Amino acid sequence: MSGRGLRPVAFLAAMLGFGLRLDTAWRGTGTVLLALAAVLAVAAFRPNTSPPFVPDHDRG
Amino acid sequence: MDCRPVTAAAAALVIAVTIALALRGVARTETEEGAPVSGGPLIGPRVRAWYVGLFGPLAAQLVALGTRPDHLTYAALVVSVLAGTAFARGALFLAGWLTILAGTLDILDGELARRTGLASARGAFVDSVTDRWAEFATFLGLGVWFWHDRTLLAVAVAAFASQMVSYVRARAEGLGLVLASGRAQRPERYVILGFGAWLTGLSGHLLCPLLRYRPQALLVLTVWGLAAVATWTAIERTRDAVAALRARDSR
Repeated sequence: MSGRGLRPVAFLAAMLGFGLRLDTAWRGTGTVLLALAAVLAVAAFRPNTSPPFVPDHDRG
Repeated sequence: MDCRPVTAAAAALVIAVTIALALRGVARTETEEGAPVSGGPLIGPRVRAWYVGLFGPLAAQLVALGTRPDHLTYAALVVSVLAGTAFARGALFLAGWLTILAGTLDILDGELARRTGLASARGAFVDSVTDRWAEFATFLGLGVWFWHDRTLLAVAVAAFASQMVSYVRARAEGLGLVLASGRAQRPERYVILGFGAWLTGLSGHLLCPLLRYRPQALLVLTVWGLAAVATWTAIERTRDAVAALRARDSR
């Protein structure tokens, strides 16, 4: 999945993590989800560093 | 009384950043539709297009994994039951999140049906019926939470009016009318209840150290507001259906 596609997933994971930490005794699971959300957010907002596509006939 | 203001503050920060990004995304979204129609849904076409676009890559991934629209329909029902359970236990932040997740799955199942070409009369029927049960499950949990409070009356009105909004449309469609009008359709009801519960949970944990209790006034206001807009939508749709039928009968 692309970086942009991961953004809503990261947000949903973060909110579930916060929800578990705020409203339940499953604080450890909430923390794990928050860590997962952070990793997903980093991947989602990382700038695209792959080189631009150049057609063969345009290459020098 | 369990107060978790630090976690709540972190959640509020993440939500604030997300809202800022969302507003930027909505502003950049272009739609083919014109200005919002009078009497149309509270959530305009631009916000709807942005939200569907946001989950587009996830929908494509789900299609690639062989997920069928029915799977998401049933998942939305399960999530709604969990939301009802969270409401019944007073886990308001979690309940709000689950309500919004159920709404998202409800949007995604239609999107998946379009992408896979699996849109069918059977799917539409199962989706509609499952949606009613899902809504009932959420309101049932909310009713349990407000069992000893006058807000239970608002929960009952909101639940009945929400079912009426759908029933009036279904009955009108059975009589050959197309009835898409209405301020508080299903996505709007998800957003109102979900965000209301979410913010109540959040503000409750933030204010708890000062007040020594978790205030719920915001959720009470949300439920009364939801009851009002859902009732208005049901009346509005009935009025439109009666007018359309009268015009048809007089021809």
